[in-house]
Amino acid sequence: MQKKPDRRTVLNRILYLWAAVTSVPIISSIIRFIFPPARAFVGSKVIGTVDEMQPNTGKVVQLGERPVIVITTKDGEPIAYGANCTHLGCVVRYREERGDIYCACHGSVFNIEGQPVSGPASRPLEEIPIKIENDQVSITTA
Amino acid sequence: MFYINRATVVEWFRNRLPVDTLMEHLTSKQVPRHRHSIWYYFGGLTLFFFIVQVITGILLMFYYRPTPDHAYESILFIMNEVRYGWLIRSTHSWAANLMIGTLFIHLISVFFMQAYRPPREMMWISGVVLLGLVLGFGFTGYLLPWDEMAFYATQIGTEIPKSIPIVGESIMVLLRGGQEIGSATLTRMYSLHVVVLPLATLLIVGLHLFLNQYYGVSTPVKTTKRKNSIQFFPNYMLRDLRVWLIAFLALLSVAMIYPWGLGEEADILKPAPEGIKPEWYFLPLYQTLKIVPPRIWYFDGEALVNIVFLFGGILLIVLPFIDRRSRNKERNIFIKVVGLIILIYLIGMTIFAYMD
Ligand code: HEM
Ligand code: FES
Repeated sequence: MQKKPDRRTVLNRILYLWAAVTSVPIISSIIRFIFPPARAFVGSKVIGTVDEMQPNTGKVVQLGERPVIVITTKDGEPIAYGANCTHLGCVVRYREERGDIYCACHGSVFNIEGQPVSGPASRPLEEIPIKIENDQVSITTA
Repeated sequence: MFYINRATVVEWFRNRLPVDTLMEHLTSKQVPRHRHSIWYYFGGLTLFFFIVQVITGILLMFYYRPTPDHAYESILFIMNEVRYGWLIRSTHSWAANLMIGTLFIHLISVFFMQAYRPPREMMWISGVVLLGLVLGFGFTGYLLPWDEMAFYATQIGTEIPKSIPIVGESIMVLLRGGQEIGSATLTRMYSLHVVVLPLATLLIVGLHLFLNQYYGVSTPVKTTKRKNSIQFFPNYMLRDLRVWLIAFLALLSVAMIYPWGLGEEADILKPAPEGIKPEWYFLPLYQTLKIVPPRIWYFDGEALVNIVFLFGGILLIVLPFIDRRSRNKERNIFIKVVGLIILIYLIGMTIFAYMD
């Protein structure tokens, strides 16, 4: 026959159980704390007027937290892509001589449509919507 | 009159600190000598460089400011205005690299001497954990100056885990403190570098050294000891100290003759410059990722490389349990050959990355 545990043992057990139960929310809140809150920027940004967009040029501007490359093609049409290379994230550059987009980190090349043509990148650059309103050129989050 | 003589003071401490027991242990301990003895200096040298890192690191903290707006500027201030600031920074950077070098040599020598065999398995495991911590120091410290090289090395380094299925993206966000590299990344790397990693390292180094004292130094399988082993204290310790002194002078010389440089300030809107490379100890991984095709059969090439390296790390940890022969004090040629092939691969990739 089992002996009835004394009061001290019972109290100790309650204490351990209590500690075990509270440790779960404590640990989980610490884990949640170290994961940063998602604070994705939503919105648009004016990057200049139509006259300022010189054909066959590219520049990198900031949209929220991220860099965006805005290119004016040889025909004068503005386009924009997320500037982080789809390989490992370096900021890409527009090459006027060749009319393509180049990443110096490991040499990925993208064509003007943002599709990878050579190098280690295998996915296209992310397209960023661009619009022209009353002569103003702006980019917006997708 | 109240009178204190030296003997009374010494006696007072003797009765309160277990000095005698300690001395008895140290003087009775013998260190075996054999033809591989020279490799045993490298563990101690790694410890020496760690001590240098703690001292110089704390000094740097007096002036360094971990925000994107001030980090680069504060490094310039350390180098140009703080008296001997350039020397302290140069010493910290040089000792970091030398420490990783001696740690690699230490680990490789322990591997080939099969010193991980019973009863020293926990020494090997704690050693591999220390390797991870020290590489962590290198990675987190490299970002702190916030120059172009630092920025892009961290950009690439934190993006690497992204290709791992399911958890990859979360690991990247965890390391960066967000989707992009920014002030959150810098404060994270900084607190890891100056608080989390040092505390963890002290703890594990403590365990490693305690076990080292407890079990003593091993003699490699089938190696004959010389007859005259040497007394740990003071003889062996003095020998070690002599090597520390040489290392100290060498460190100071390189730090003065080749002061550590600083690139241009990082700018998130500036396209990546040519020639971005991580520190030399990450080059084998970097170069493998560079040459792997995007797809291997059905798998993502990058993810595969990550998983292979991760698996390699796990194998390294459990090595004492895989090597059954070493448990019976036999040589295991197979494991040594595999180790040698991996070593040649890593060195080859490093050279390849430099030439590329
Ligand atoms: C308690 C220990 C340590 C403290 C308090 C500390 C502190 C610091 C601080 C404040 C910086 C920024 C200043 C600068 O960049 O020059 C720094 C940079 C750095 N640390 Fe440490 N550190 C410690 C240990 C280590 C260890 C063990 C390693 C290496 C294995 C290491 C590697 C580095 C590297 C590579 C840099 C970048 C150096 C540069 O380019 O300026 N640190 N550390
Ligand atoms: S990050 Fe662009 S090619 Fe690797």
